[in-house]
Amino acid sequence: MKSSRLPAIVFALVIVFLYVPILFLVVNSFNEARFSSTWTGFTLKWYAALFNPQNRDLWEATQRTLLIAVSSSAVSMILGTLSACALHWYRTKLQRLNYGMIYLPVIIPDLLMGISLLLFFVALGVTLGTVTILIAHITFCASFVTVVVLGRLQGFDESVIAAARDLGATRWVVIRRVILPLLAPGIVAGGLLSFTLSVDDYVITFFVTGPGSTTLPLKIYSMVKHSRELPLINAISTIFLVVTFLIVWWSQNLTRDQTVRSH
Amino acid sequence: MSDFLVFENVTKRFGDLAVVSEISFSVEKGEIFSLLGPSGCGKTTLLRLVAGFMKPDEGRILLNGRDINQIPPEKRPVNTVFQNYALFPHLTLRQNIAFGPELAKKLSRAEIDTEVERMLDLVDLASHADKKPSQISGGQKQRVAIGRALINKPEVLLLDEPLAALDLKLRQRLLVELEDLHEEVGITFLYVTHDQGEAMGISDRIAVMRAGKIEQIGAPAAIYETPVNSFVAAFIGDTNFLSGVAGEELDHEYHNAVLDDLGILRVYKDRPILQGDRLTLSLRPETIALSRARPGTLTENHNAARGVIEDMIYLGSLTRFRVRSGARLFMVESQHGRFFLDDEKPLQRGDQVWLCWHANDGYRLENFSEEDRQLLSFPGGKE
Repeated sequence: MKSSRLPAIVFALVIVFLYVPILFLVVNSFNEARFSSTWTGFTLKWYAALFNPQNRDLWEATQRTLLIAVSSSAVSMILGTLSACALHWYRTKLQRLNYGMIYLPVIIPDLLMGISLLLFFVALGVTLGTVTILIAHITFCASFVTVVVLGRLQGFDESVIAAARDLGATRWVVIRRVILPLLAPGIVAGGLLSFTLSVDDYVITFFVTGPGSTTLPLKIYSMVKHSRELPLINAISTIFLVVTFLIVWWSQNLTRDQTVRSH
Repeated sequence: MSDFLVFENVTKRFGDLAVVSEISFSVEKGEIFSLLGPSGCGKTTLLRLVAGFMKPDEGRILLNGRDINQIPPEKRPVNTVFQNYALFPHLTLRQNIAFGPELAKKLSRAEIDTEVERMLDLVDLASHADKKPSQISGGQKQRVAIGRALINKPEVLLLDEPLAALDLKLRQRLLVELEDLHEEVGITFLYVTHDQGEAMGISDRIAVMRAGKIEQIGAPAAIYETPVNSFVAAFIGDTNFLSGVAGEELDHEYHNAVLDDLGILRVYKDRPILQGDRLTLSLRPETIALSRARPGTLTENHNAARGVIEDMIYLGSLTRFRVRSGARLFMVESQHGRFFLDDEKPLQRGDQVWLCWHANDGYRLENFSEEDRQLLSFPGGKE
């Protein structure tokens, strides 16, 4: 039997378009040359330059980005889980409308979302800054968490709740010892999704940011315009890549550990 | 009488439909009491009312003399074994079983651990204690569910079709285990099932239910041998319904009756019969004997009819025949002899046979409804 060549071709295309650019970026972060992408020698000077006092604003942007990402995903995990439970367990006449409202931030173009939030904040007279970015991020992240947790709830065996009550658990104990542990994988997955969405959001953040509250994506974009600083972007992106990779590896290990441990 | 769990005029409605209507009965301490009936008869609702997942619209449920209507499920001294096991998937078997005692906070950690070990031994799962529910078989899951409920020493153990999801052999084995377990712990069991074999096998008493009402309560043998109406007779096992009109009285035990399509036959009179009464008998298939020649030793209290074997199903331990006698069909079950050793040739389809039964085996029903025929394996008793 002649095997198809298609898988090999698809594999090659995936590698070329998804991973070669990343590899390019990583290699270039160690490149001596400032302006060209031709290899002129190995260096760590771009990494060293990141720690240069003149690049302090880069670190401030990073800190702000992480702060916003962590807090918006934390708040979204709570709000998203609550809304998913509400949608799943309490049917109302407006059920379809409620679902629609939850899905809207997921499918609406970022541009629209950004403009509408900006208009809203301006109308309310809120000072644009870290807080408005945070609110904007929570607005769309909560929807993503809701969607993920709703998926988890679809396969939820309701009888375990009855079983827990039967065994002496009050409503609160049922939530703490049965519902939350069972939803946890969905909540954590939603949280991680929120984190990544928040960290690299550019469009919405661009509209609702204020002076002095630049996030990393905004900062990087402004740096791209000055090609002198291109190698710095390569370096900080590589660090991000490594950190992301470690987090993913760690979280996968965590879930695998759970299934293996019980053997 | 030790009326332990008492239902007093209990009614439960879903909308306009009364799933349970004005039911009153009582369960004695330490017995295995089964609620048996087709799906939708209200048996699971009754169980859930005891567990506390629902409240009755009318009536009271008393446990050990105490009205439990207002007690929330987590405070009731009863525990449930669910049909789909309802084990906590995120906990190990050990943690599943420890769930109840940990919440009760009556025992120290060490005491709980000892109790859990004992329960794991009792349900024979000690070697799997640290597995998750997803890693064990259906039968094992059900044993965990039973252990998880029993460890709380409930006053009543509620079992909601506990074996329905298991295959036949496993079901039979677990049924025996359940009975042994009951003997060991001595807790009152309220057992819900739609499987008459299960109910007959395990119960001290059975309540046969239909459409929110109890049709008959009694020991398995009493329900099988003396069903009050055609529903109970047809739902528990298979039977033949013979209808007719009472004829003259023969003596204080027997009566003549003109049975439809069968002529004048003898009927046992366990309750007074008046000449001219319309009556229906339930005649169990295994009480009818088949033979090629008319048996010579028939007493006057035996009835006999001629027939032709129209169909037969060989089921191993017995053979089920469909025998036509005139316009009506009889269902007959007979345990054949030694298949290869009997001299006589086994009965074949199309053979002319004699059907014989003792008049005492035809049990007169108090009520007969034509539609209950549909519950039989061969509903077309008459064509």
